[in-house]
Formats: sequence, structure tokens, C-alpha cells
Amino acid sequence: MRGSLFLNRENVAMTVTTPVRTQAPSRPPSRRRRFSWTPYLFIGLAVLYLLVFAVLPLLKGLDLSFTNTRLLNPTAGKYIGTENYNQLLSSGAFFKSVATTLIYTVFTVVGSLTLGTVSAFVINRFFPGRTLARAVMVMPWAVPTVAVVLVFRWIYNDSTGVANAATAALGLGERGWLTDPNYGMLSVVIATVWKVTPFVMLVVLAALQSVPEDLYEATRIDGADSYSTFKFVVLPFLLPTLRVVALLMTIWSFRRFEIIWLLTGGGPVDVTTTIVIDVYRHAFSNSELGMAAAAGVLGLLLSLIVTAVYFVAEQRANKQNGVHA
Amino acid sequence: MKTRTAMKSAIMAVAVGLALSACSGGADGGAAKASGPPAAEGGTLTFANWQWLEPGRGANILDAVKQYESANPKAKVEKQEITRADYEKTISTQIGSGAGPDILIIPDPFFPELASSGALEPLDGVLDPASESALRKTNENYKFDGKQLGLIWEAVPYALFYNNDIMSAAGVKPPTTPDELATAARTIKDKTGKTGFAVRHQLNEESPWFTDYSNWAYGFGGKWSDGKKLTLNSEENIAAADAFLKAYKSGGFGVGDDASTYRSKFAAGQVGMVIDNSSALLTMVSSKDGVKSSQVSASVLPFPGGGSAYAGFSIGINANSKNKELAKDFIKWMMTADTQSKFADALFPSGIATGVSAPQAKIDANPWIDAFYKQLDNSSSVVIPGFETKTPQVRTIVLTQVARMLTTGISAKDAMDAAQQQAASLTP
Repeated sequence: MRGSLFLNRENVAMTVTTPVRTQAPSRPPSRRRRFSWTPYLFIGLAVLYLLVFAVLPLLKGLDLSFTNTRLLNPTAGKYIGTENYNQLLSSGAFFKSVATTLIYTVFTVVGSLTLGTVSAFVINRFFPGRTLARAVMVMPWAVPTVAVVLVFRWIYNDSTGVANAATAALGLGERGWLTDPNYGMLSVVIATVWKVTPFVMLVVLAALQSVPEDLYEATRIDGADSYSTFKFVVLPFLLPTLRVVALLMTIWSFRRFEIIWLLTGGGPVDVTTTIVIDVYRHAFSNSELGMAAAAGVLGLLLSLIVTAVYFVAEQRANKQNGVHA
Repeated sequence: MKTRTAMKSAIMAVAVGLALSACSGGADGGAAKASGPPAAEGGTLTFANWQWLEPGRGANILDAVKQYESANPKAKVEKQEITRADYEKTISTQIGSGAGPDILIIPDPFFPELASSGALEPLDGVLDPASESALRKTNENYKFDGKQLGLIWEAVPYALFYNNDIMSAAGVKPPTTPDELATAARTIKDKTGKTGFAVRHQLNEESPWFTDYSNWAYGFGGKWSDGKKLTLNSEENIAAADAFLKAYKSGGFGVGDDASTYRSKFAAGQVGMVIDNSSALLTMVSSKDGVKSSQVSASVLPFPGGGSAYAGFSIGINANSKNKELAKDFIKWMMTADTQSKFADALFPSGIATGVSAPQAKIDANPWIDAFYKQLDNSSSVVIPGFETKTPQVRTIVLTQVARMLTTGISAKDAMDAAQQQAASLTP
């Protein structure tokens, strides 16, 4: 009956097979309902892991955020209600760190996605030395962050750095890459993009290589130009990957610490003081663990909002695709 | 049924384990902190200090410390190395979790935080009467609520020092005023192409920069507080900030160079003048191929008030230590006259807990030390009176505004006014 309304190859096959299934000897009820612990064991391990390493610390952090706990005496904090939150939300510094985080995230995500996608297209084509080029282009991702920072500190050095040597040679004068508030964020974004772009490149490259060769051939036979091939063949394959990579890069950018801290310590002035740097300062410079926890909770809320926006947008896109299909 | 019972038991065990783990942790859990076995029984003392990592000097200090093993053959002293940049946060995390080294060196701005949280063992009655009477008066700074919680490890004075060859090549004399300092820096840069003057000026070195920068404020007669309220925008502090700005903008300043960079450059003969502490200078002139001690001279800071800051460090015992008696015995041994002379040698050129001075031969070999000793007589700690535990917050506010002044073109007055306003919510 089910197959009779929509006749196509799939449901015709279903109408054929359904009677066979109903005729199969059914299992005795006692065997079918037999209880097994195995799935619970597998799920339980994951749940236990998350409980111990994610949920409990999260709850503890939330609890701390309502106390005046200090780093040296973490069990002696007293509940002070929402005082930490009031202080944070009434100070311009916290909102500035939120704005700085958003600026850093937008530039880092856009920069790494653009460069990573372009690089993936380039190394997806065959050219002599491609294997070597791929290895070299992946290197920044493999290099430890501290080493990257040391190199960039040298590049950005005001008096002896190659960045100023290059701008001076081009007649653009010298810049305070790590000392001038107008260039601090740019310098940090450049270093970050250099470090994370290979990850984007590798993921996009994997997606590109999953596009069936038949489709390229079909578009060639149909006489499609490069732009049409990209738009109607490649992009639909890439979009889900790009969306996931964008989400990952966004979340990672929100919580990135080491590059920023080691390059600028949140300066010059405070132009690179993101929420994470702010949390670190509260916790380890000022020993205010409760205040740091409150800043961390607000940062987490921001991340959750961004993730929620992403999922809502994706659901809408999926619905739209379903309508058009 | 058996399987189900076993699984229930396992789940119960995990739940109890989780509950216990959630309830445990913390500094001491309210348990009494034992003193540990008597010193005569010996044991192993862990000793945290970033100076173990200082080339040359670290080994000398460790040699002096290790001599305790001869005085108490059943005892061993093990060094715990932590980099200077990570020192306070590593120690805080260790002590906060109920652990940490037995003995630790404490930078002055960190002392109030440790003392107020009960992390230090009192040292009252530990020393021999003879050692007690030999202590410098400055040891009183390490009393908290009437208890002696630390004793001077070293007091490191600051001065202006310079490379004699570079000064001669540029034809400049040692500056005695802030204006002369800025002019000399510019002249050195113009005539030799080398950096004229260097000092810390970036937030990623916040804690040591505050000590460095306090030299300017104290040098102009300024203070960070009057004991009851902050005085960040006093006339003296504004004048000091303005002098710092003039030096920074002189054209001869090592803009962007952090301490490790300009110290390496000075040792390589690439920087003319530096304001820094005496132990840093000793390290700079100790490299084999670099500038030699005889090529360097020093003078008191070129500021009108004559005051300066010193980098103060005390030695204390962790209240979590399980070897408190042994640790106390170590400190008792360390403060005797004989041992102090060994430490005066190892910690040269710093001042130590008692008036024992370094070997004359060492002083003669480093004649620049006189200027540092002269400056030490008129120097103060960077812990802000009345705001001891708030010093880190005040430090961040002041230095952020100084950085703003250096890089955005606002005046020294506006910067210090903004700092005062931002710090208004901080109370003693």
C-alpha cells in the first residue's frame, strides 16, 4: 500500500521486498526484548569522560563566578552573588575585549578561509614540484606556536625586523608593528592567519578531491566555462566543508591565547586584549579567580550564541535547499 | 541478575568516586598543616627560584645553597626551576592546589598576596640571636600582621649604565638630567647608528616593567599612594611620565626591544645607555665575547628627586611544606655570618639580608657597582603602601596608560589623570 502512491524505482523495490519481510519467521518475544548493557557501556564511557572533563569543570567554573575566590586560596571563596558580573558589565574594559575578540575573529576567519581555499585550488592542480609545495605549505600548521611567535617577533622588531626593512625599501616608512596600537591587531592577525591557513587548505583540498571526475567531464562536454563549473559543480561540494571549517575557525579564534599573549601580551595599549587575555589577566596577574570565571562564563555565552546562529543558519539553508530540490 | 548487580555496583562506585573528586581539592581542605620531622632527621628540600636559569650566576647561587648539605649531611636541597615570566602564576597554582616547593624566593609585589592568603610559614624565633641582630632594617618590610613571613634574599638596585666606547664615539657625556638623557640617546643614534638608550616599555613584560618604570616616578619624588589613597596623577608622577615620553620619542630609544633583546644588544656593544638593575648588568658583562665589565660605567639615575625603586626579593617557607622544620633550619643556617658572606659573593652585586658585603676583589673588578650602591641608599619597594594586594591592578592601569601615552600622542597629564580615574574604584 505504501508504495502505490509514489511509484519510482526505490518504492517499487520496497513493495516487492516488504511481503518477503513479513513472511520471515519472527523472533520469540523473550529474545527480542532481551536487555543488553553493551550500548550503555560504550555510551557510558563517553558520558563519563565528558562529565569529568567538561561538565564538572564547567559547573565548577559557573559556581566560582559567583564567589570572590582567589588563586592562592581556591577553597576559601565566599559567595558574593552577581557582583563579579556587575563589575564586568559595568566596566567598558569587558565590552572592549568582546569587541576586540570579534574583530580578531572576523579577520582571522575571513583571512584564513580565503587564503586556505585559494591555496587548496592551487595545489589541487598538477604542476611540477606539487608534492614539495604541499609539504612546505603545511609546515606552518606543524610548527609549534612558540616558535612561530619567536619568528614573528623578530620579523616585527622595530629596529632590526624584516617587516620594517621591507616597508622602508618600498618607500612606505617604518611601522611599530608590535608597539603602535594602529598596527598591533594587524600584526597578530597576520601571524595567526599564517599559522592556521594550512589547516583550512588541507580540509578544503580533501573536499575538492572528493568531487567526482565524471562531473568535471560532464560539464566539459556540456561546454561549461570555468566559472560555471566552479559555481554549479565545485561549490555545492565545498559549501558544507567551508561552513564547518568556518565554525571551527570561529570557535578556535574565540579561545586562542598563546599567539596573542606571546606576541603582544594584550597590547600595545590594549588593542589585542581579547576575552581570553582578559580572563588570564584576572586569574593569573590579579589572582581574582572568581572574576576570571565570570569573564569566562560570559565568553562561553558569546561562543554559544555564535554556534547557535550557525546552526540556525544551516538549518534554514538546508530547508531552502529542500524546497528548491 | 548477577550482571545487573555488578553493573549497579560499578555505577555506584563511579558515582561515589565522582562525588569525592568534586568535593576534594583545594589548598588545605581545612586540615592542620604538619611541621614535618625534626631537621636533624634530614630530608629533601625543594627550592623554587628563577635564578637557577641565569647563566653563570645561577650556578654560583646553587653552589652556595648546596653548602647546606655539608652543614646537615642528612639533608638534600633540590632546585625547582621556573622561568621568571611564569614564576608567580606557577607558584600560585602550586600553592593553591595544596602543594608547591618547601622554600621559595618571593618577588616583592607577590609577597602581600602570599602573606594575606596564609601561604607562608612564620619565621619568628627561627634565627639565632646573633643573626637576628645583624638583619638589615628593611627585613621589617616582610612582616605581616606582626609575623615575620620572609627575609631579604636580595635587594637589587637600579642605576644608569653605559658603554664607554659608544659614549666616546658619539662624543656625549653621562647625562645628569632627563633632557640630557634624551639628547644623548639621539646623539648616539645619529653618530654611531646604534641604539642610544633602552629600557622596558611594553605590556608583555608588565611586572618587571613596573619596577623599571617606578624608577622614573620615584626619581622625580613621586609615589603611587599616600597610604590611604592613590596619587597616580600627582605633579611628580606626571613630570616623570613626561620625561619617559621625551626619552621614548628622542629618536635614539630602542622602541620595540624587550629586556632580553636590549640586554643582548648591550652585551654585544649595540646599545649606548640602559637603566636596569645591577644583577642584569653583571650577567650582560659576563659573556665571553661581549662587552667587558671594564668597558662599562654607571651613574645614579638622571632624575631630580634622587629616589629610585629596587627589585626586592625575599625568601620564605611554603605553609604547605611537609619539611617545615628542615626548611627553617636551612634559613637559620643561611642567616649566620659565615654563610651570609658566601651568599654576598654568590648574589653579587645585590644587597642581602644582613650588612655583610661582597668580597673586595669582586667590587674592585666591577667598579660600576658604586653607583648602584649609592642608589640603593635612597630606594623604595614597588609594593604600593595601603594597596599591597591591589598592586597588580594598579600596575596594569598605570602601565596601560603609559603605553597609551607613548603610542597615541596623549599627554602625560591626560594619561595619569585617566589612570587615577580608572583606579578610583580600588580601595585600600
